[in-house]
Amino acid sequence: MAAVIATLPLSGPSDADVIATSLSDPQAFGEIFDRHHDAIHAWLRRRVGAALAEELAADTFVRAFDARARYALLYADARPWLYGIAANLARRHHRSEERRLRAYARSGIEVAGDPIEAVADRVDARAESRAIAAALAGLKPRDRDALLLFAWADLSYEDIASATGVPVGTVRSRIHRARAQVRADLEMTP
Amino acid sequence: MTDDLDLLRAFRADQALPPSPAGRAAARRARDARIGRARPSRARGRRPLMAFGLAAATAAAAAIAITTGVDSGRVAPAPAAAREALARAAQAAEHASGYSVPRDDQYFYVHSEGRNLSTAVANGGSYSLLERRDRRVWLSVGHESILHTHTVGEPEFLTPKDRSEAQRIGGLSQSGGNPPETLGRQKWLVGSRTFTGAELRAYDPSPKELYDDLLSRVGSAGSSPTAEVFVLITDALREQPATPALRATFFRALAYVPGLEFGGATKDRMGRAGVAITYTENQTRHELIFDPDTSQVLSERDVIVKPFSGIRAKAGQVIGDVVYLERKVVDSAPAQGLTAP
Repeated sequence: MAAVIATLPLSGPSDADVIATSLSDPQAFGEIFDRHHDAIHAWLRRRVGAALAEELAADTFVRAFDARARYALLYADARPWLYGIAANLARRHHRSEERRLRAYARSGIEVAGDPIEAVADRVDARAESRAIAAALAGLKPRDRDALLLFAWADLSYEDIASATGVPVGTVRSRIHRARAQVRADLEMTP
Repeated sequence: MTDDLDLLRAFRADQALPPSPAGRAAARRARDARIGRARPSRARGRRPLMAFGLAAATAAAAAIAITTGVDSGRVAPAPAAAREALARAAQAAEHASGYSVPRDDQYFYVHSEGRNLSTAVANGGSYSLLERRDRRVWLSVGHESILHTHTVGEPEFLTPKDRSEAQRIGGLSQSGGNPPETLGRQKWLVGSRTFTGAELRAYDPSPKELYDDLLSRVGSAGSSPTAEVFVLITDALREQPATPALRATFFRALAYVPGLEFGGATKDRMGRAGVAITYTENQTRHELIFDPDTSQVLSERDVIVKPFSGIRAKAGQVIGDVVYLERKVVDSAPAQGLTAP
């Protein structure tokens, strides 16, 4: 049961409780940001690079806040919902994500353009990593979303279904297809 | 041997970093700017939230003993009276007609009416009110599920002070009816486990196995692991279909929840007689009211045990309830041209 109380000093409310509270006390939504922003940012950074990740992570929580009245309070954990929003935002940049992956696949050099880290020095010569990059670049965006929510965000198939709004069977087939392609690319790697 | 998933998980792992302080600060500013523009909105949860209701100070509420449960740090097995009531309900559930898992082309229909507490905070003040909402949901694994809710009657202010604050602050609006929502195709749930119809029909854990399984999966959800198990079992009894045997198991598994108390004979808001089992957390006593002779879950109710800041409610005040009016398996839902969201 979720309490829709603005200032109840709960010791450990679930995400659903916090979101319910934020309907009448918008400030409460800051707790959702505090709990999950860094993880969402890390996932986005891995996909689209540092500069874009900050913008998309911020946008994820703004959109989540605007949509909180539609949150299905059945789900105590808001991570699938937040990752779903983040994935939708990242999908708009799938072409730049693919370019980045292909560049890495060719050279083994990250060209994400992180001004803080000397990423160009981090040449990863492992052929399998480059093969993974090539495989990821070649996946359909929705298949890539499902696979990276599974592998990098540690969401279950059910959570991914919730995040992406598709039946769990579709998630299974997307991940199966994506993994098969990754495996095929790895086997082709000399 | 390293498989593709291991390699994938290692790929760019060094880049999964938190934002820079400046990036985090910018994100906070964006969030705060949006929050600052937001007006309080009314809860529109798909889950039949435990409606927080005004303590009409009913005789029924008064008849229920104030319990302390885990909130006081005392954790004990369910008392004999609670176990006996749950055992009676379980026995009745085993033989109850009308409970089944729908076919994939059917719907599980639940009609309820709840009272939700909303608290508006603005202009240096706040007010709390209760909104009565009628809720009808048609859940299906094979079809789009449908939810229809609408407001019933006038909002009830918790206290006269809340009414005057609402007049001073303003912003009060009746949310009225929402257009029917599509909820997608459902997965039947018991805790975090999902089931197809066939799987749910075959699911037959012992009460202890069910309790242990739920407890092992709660993670950090809820105010405590055992509190979350109580919530999960009541969730399963609320808007999820189950076989007669599984419903019996739900009742028996509740007896394993430490801190469960017996609330005694009571009546729900509709005047229907039942018994209550209660669980107290976060200064609020949650009551599950059921008829032990039929196993029908009649109502849920929340009662404040200790006053807390934020709303003007006294100890013993009922701050929410939901009454269940009908549950049944049906062949169709009023889709009325709805499209998937």
